[in-house]
Amino acid sequence: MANDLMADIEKSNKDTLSIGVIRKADEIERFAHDVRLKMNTEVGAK
Amino acid sequence: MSFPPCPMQPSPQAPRATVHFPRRFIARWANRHLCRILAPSFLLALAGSTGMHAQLSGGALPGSVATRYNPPSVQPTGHSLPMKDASGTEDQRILQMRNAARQLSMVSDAGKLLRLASELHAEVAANNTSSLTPAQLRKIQQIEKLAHKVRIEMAISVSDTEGGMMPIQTLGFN
Repeated sequence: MANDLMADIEKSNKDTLSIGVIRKADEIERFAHDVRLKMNTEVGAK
Repeated sequence: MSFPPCPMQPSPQAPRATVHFPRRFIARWANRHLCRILAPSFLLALAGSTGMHAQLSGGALPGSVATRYNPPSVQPTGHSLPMKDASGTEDQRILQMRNAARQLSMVSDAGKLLRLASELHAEVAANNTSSLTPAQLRKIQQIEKLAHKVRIEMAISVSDTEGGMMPIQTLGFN
């Protein structure tokens, strides 16, 4: 995912708005948030 | 020119004292004509004071000899605001610089995100455990923040239209 995001960003320039970049960044953000939340929950359960 | 009778002047009905000395005569003459001498000077002094007051307060009383206070005119010093036409190209240049800085920041953040994700992937693959260390959790948090920042930086693009901030060009869905 991070590799795809980096590739999309390198394809864009300062005058473009890439929906793909926004979507991938949003996916990474949600995924990281879910993992962190899951790990915190597991640590709290222990 | 006739003046009203002086209040200090003795009335004709009052009994007159007999004048025997020239000093008394001079005093009576002064008493009689003092009001006529002092009244115009008193009025002049009064008019002068009101004129000064009007000059200090910025207004003139009707009928007074005072002139209205005119503040000194301010000369232009050359530090005036730029004209709208001249600032148009300047605004455009600033917007171009902002977009370039935004793109650079986005590339830098994506590079950091990629490096953190690669490090995290290598660490998790090396440990082969189901739990994460606090350092790894911090890395995940940093990845989350960087992804959020990249998303916001890409979503907010600045153009020089009247609407303010709006996207310039859309690449479409990938």
